[in-house]
Amino acid sequence: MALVAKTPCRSLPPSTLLLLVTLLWMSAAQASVAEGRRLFLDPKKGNCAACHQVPGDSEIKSRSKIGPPLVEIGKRFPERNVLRATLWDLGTTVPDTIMPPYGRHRLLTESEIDAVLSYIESL
Amino acid sequence: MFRYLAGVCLAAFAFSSPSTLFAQSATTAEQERLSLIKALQKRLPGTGPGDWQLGPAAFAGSDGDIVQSIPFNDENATNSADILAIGKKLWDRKFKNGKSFSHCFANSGKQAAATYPQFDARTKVVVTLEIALNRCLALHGESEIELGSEAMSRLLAYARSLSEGQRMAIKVSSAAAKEKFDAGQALFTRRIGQNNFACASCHVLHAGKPFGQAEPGTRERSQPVNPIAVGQAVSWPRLEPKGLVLSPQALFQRCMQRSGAEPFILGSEELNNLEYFYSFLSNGMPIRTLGTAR
Ligand code: HEC
Ligand code: HEC
Repeated sequence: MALVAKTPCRSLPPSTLLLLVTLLWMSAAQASVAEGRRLFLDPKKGNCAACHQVPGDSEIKSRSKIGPPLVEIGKRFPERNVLRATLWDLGTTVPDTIMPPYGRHRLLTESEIDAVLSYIESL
Repeated sequence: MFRYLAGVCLAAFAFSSPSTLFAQSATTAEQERLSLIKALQKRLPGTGPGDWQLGPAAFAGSDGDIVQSIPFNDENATNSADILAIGKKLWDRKFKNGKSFSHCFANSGKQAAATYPQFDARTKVVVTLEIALNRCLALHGESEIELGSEAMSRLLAYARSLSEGQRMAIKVSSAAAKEKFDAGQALFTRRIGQNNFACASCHVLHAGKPFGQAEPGTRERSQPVNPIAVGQAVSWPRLEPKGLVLSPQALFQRCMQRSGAEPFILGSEELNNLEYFYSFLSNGMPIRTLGTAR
């Protein structure tokens, strides 16, 4: 409580405060997109480009066609939970999928999954 | 979205189950090999075993991708000649009792490799060519060569080269042998490791497709391609960059690591049975020692 009372924000006008919060939130979201992209490419983590093409990210040159190209993800998966379940364990809907169960087998932590989701939603 | 997933789901049920790739009822090894060929032809339309035996290098995927593996260039030609020369020295070496490897195999070892692995009815285990070489050493009072060692891989390559062009002819001719074949097949279709892959996931269901990321700084063409299960064994052991030679089981181990699994050890019953099953799939196809693309 005492800590909160001492924060400099209290003396700032509400509009500046809002701007600050927005900026902080935006950079946090961007950080998570960048972190998600890193995890997406890391062969020891997501290794997603081993199976998926990413037409929306010109720096990723994958010619894999094992999985579908990851395009318009945000539009096609408006509900994050559905998309999240795809990463957590696609085997529940596609029993013989080759896609690894990132959540169930703890290839990615819950927060790492969220970061990867932020990245692919940005595609 | 739902429709898409449902479609994928149906397709998966219809074609994609590694566990239903093989007939469930009692069948012969040859019937199972033929049903696997059918399953592969469904996925790689317009192609057949004659194309697959040439390896991914010579295989143009159904979608027109030219896929490639290790090229047969000057460096590799030199490497494979050097390797076979070293292997020949090891093969020709006289044992203390005056015998040599050629005394342990019919026809002095010519065309022997094409029949390995074999089921040994006496000891009731699968004997790979490497184990047969070590049994020969033991029989003549020599010390065995470590599986996976550079010497063994070169000796193995030379012993295989004595069957160059010979058609693979692995036999599964008793119920006891079929049990080992089945055990190998079970491992081939079982999901393993943190990635939850089965060998069949890549070498059957997604065979002939690029998998993996290109090495940083290389062109996307350098992405590896999933080799096609039928036809792989003809080119074992494999020549890798920098003159490295990998035995069949060392290759299995590498793919087990790729699946995020702790690999079985070289010469284990699991890997021997897997090598027996996997080799049988290439029956009728000519051996191409060291398997670089030609
Ligand atoms: C070993 C191959 C493989 C890897 C690695 C892989 N996927 Fe997949 N993925 C697939 C396949 C195949 C499908 C299609 C469903 C099916 O047939 O199994 C798929 C489907 C998807 C879908 C649904 C696509 C759509 O258009 O409906 C998303 C999203 C997805 N993957 C994201 C990812 C992400 C993110 C990663 C990395 C964390 C990843 N995948 C890693 C093979 C893979
Ligand atoms: C995720 C995909 C994948 C899985 C799962 C997989 N492999 Fe592979 N395998 C590959 C790729 C790609 C190559 C080619 C590149 C290389 O040699 O590393 C390969 C190469 C091989 C080779 C050597 C090349 C050849 O032509 O024979 C053998 C043998 C092999 N795999 C056996 C296995 C076995 C046994 C398993 C199961 C334990 C397995 N693989 C699981 C993708 C896979």
